[in-house]
Amino acid sequence: MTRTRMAILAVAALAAAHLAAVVAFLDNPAAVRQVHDAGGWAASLFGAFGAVAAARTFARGEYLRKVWGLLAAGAVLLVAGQALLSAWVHTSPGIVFGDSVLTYPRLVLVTAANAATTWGLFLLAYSYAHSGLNVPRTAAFNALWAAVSALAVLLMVVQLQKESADFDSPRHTANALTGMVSTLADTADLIMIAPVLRIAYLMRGGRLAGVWWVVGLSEVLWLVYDCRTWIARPLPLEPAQALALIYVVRNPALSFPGLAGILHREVVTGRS
Amino acid sequence: MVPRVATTTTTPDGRTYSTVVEQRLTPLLGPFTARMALKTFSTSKLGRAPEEISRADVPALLDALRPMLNTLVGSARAGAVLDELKKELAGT
Repeated sequence: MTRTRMAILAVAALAAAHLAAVVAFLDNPAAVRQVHDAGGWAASLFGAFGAVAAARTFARGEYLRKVWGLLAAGAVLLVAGQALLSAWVHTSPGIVFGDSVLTYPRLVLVTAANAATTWGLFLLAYSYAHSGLNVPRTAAFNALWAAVSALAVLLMVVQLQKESADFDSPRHTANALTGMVSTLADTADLIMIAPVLRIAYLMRGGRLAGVWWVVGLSEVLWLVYDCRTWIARPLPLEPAQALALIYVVRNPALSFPGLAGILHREVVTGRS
Repeated sequence: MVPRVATTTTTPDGRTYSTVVEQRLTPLLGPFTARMALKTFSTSKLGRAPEEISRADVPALLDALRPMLNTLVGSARAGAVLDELKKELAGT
């Protein structure tokens, strides 16, 4: 079995195990929280591993070294963010995270992770043009891009209204700022879904296309994750159960950049 | 049977030089981007259409493709792909 297939199977197994565990404990919110914590750890570690492996594949000064260096930095910082959330889950089950002292380091981590990931994604979306290739955008692409961008901006407005309401204490302010930074970066990332997937489409049939497909799909999953309260409403489940199930998309959203990194490494080293 | 005589734009097996390059790039970049790369760089760097590329133009074409490949697969893989192409075309 090739490393590429092993990586794809690993990502699928992580997501399937996470989903199966959530389904098994759907009536037990405390257990579901533990499952999300374990799933988040596994997926974010995989994401960081693959992104770092990709960054190490390219020589210093190369364009892709910068792209994967930024995506890897973002992924590693997300692992650190996961550690903070995990510490909170295990040590303070009765305390709202916004009241925790951990909210200050989380603000720093989230800001740095979002800055690195967003800049890395921008460079990845720009890679085709940077290589000297130029394919005019079609009207269909422009329409799709406009629709996704409009949805991203709508999400941003709704989310910012929620987050800007809670500035009554330093901890709540830090927590609100964390949410706002994350929302702004998410908006930028979601707007880049279409350009990243367009590159994958232009390279369809080639081994490199998989890298852009997987990164683009990761962002699509973040879009689903960000829309989870809207998606959960029509589902024939208790709201908390529906949200717990949709939350599972965070798992592949975290691990897909790692898979993309491994795919890129395998193509570049000629092993896939 | 009289063997086919290679023209300046075709290899002894009858493929155009641009086709040889395109076929080598396709597994990596996909057929659309491989064709687009040839069109873009043969036009912009050599001033001619891909099917007009002659044996003498090949080194310049490969040099023109190098920055694009460096960006998408890194310099090591780009060098390997271009070396394979040079070897394949060496006997033509």
